[in-house]
Amino acid sequence: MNTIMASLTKSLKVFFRDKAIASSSIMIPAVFLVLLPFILYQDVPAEFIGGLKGALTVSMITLLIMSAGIGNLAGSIASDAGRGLYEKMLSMPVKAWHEGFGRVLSVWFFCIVGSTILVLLGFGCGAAFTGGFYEILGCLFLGLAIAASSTGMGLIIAAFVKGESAATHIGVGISMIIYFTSIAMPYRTVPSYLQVFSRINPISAANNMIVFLLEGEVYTGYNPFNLVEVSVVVLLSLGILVAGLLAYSRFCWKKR
Amino acid sequence: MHMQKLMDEQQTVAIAVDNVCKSYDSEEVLCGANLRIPVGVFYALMGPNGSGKSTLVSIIAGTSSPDSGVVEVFGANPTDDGIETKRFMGYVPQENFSSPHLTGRENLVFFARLFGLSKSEAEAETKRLLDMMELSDHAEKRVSDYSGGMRKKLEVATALLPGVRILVLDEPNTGLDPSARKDFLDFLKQINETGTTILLVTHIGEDAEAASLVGFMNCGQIVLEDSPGKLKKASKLQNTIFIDIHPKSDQVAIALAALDDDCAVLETPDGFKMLCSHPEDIVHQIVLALKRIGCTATRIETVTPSLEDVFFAATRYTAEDEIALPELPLDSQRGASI
Repeated sequence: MNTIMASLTKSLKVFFRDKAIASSSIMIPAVFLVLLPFILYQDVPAEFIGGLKGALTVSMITLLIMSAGIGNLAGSIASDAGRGLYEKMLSMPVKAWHEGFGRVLSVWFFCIVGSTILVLLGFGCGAAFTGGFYEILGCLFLGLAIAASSTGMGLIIAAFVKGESAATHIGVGISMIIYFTSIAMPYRTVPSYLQVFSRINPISAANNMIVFLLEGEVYTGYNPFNLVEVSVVVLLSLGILVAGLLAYSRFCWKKR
Repeated sequence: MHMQKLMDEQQTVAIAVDNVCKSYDSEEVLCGANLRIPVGVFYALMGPNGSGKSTLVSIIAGTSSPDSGVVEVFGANPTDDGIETKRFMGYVPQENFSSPHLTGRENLVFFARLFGLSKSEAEAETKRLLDMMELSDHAEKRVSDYSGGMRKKLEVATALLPGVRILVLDEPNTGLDPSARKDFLDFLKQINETGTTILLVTHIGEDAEAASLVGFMNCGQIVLEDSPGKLKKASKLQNTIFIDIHPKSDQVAIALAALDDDCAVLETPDGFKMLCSHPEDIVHQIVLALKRIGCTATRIETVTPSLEDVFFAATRYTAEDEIALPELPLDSQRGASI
């Protein structure tokens, strides 16, 4: 427990103090959230604007979680590895997966703070959300699935990519690919293979489920709540996180 | 009987390395390395870049695995015996591993908690370590604002948590100015006086002088080992006396050469230099001899051989000529190929 808390506290402080991490994860989605409605929703009837802004807020939160979990987590681990922190920690009585899980939790806490900022900003920009207590509970659970998948991917990248810049850019690149292929574009307008991808990829699938819960089917283009898709989201998110922790413990903590 | 001997050794030997070999990408870095460091000793391991020093200490610290051979730290194998054996090892790698985004205090709390201390214990321990390192005034500064010396002190502090009995430092003085280096070595001596065994890796002879035992490492083996004084004495390297004089003349050279048959006199741009085994007896005679012929020296300075000189002499013999080392006590020579 001490190791998990030590790692969580340290990584959380680094995430908030490193201007590059804070600005790329929170500032970019925040700017998009404010600017994109002016560009994209000019001809949209007024009754849909609130819902669209709500859906945009959800997708920006997903972008924030992906950016922090896939890109910045990988970059921060690679930076620590480059400084010789793992050489030091290997000589100490530390369990690798405890330290890794602390890092994962720190990203989750960072995302909670970042998401709160984006939700407040979304409200400020006119985003409208529907749904009651159970829908919000469901959203939190699905947000956790997005965070688990993202941090799992970040850990896998950190396990195999050396160098802070390379790890961060690969993570950001993967985030962008997921965002633009299965989240940014309306479901009905994308090719069928991308529709399949957006339903089996746990991040975009969970994003669409949150939008469905808070805004309704008109904003997702389909009903994602069926046994297969919910199972895919839960099992794949968990699987990616476990695979990430295993890869991290095996390769980042590898003895020379 | 054998068991008793083993138990005695565990109590008196802090680090035991037997016949350790290690290769990276088929390049042999360590080859039959042997080392015994008694409990409470300040041991300096010297050697040139690529001699295998860092590889050997990383194996001792348990961050690297040997291809063959045995390493024991207080009788436990740091590579295989699980994480609990690492509680009495404090290791400071060559790189600056502390986080620049955290303050000095936060860094220490992080490592103390990784070590297994609770939050309150870690806070108390951090305060003690900051006081000990004289970093309390800078505790709330971010490490990115620390000087090189302060950062290194902080990183050494991470290796001095409760229960640590061996401190292993890999070139901690790199990048420090002479004053900071001296302070740091004095600090290590103080720690050693409390009973902590120290293994210091360095390529700086002056740093190794602070240790009670020095091992020379070359081509993956420890080729020589003894106290700094004995190593110098056994090397039979001569002291050099520099005599700056103007004008230089044959008369001066003759007068100097007549002082001692065992001293060689050589010309330098500013005068002469004499290579002698016992310079303390000669210096006074030089002054008198110069006075007799009506000359006055502008400088008479005795330069004793450094540990680097001894090292170069030793490794020249082993690496190039492949003949015996300079005459040293048998128990101070190491390495199968010597």
